[in-house]
Amino acid sequence: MPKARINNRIRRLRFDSNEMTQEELASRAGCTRQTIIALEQGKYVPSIELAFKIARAFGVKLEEVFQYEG
Amino acid sequence: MNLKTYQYWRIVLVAIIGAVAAVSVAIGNAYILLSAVIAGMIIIIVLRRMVKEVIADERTYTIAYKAARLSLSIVGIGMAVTGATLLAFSRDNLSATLAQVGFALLYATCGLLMINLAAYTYYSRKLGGKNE
Repeated sequence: MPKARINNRIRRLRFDSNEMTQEELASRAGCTRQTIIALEQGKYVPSIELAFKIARAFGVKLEEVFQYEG
Repeated sequence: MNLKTYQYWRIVLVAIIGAVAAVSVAIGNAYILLSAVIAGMIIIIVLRRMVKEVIADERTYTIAYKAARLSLSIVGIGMAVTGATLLAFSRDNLSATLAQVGFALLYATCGLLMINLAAYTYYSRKLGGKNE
């Protein structure tokens, strides 16, 4: 099965949101800081629930945070 | 309580339980060990509830799942191959001890696979996917 590529703009969005820290984003999204680090490095693809929580933490739509490149 | 304080106290607790275990083995009293382990588990649960930050999330569970799956494969295959090899050797050497160890390993492998099958069936039903 080919590996799906899901890119994200978390780092960009953090800096656009008054330089929100990874810790703060993790707290808002209900995950650990290590998960935010893994997401920013592209090493981990989140579940749909966490993806929605992250988008909500930034106050944007899901598509503005995550992009699917099939 | 923050995550770092929790992790610090968890290490301290494990060290204390380890020391108590060593003492209980040295004096030959299993009740001390049992009490220490149960008390330790209760303290860990209480400490966990006091932490306001997220300790484990979906990524942690994914890591645990992958590690468990790999461990199961390695231990299962390792025990099956070792058990079968010991049984084969015991026939040539007529060693009863080798045969016993071989059978023990093979029965343990069977037990492991049965538990895995039961857990798989349980989660398969819980998470759906069955044709209606």
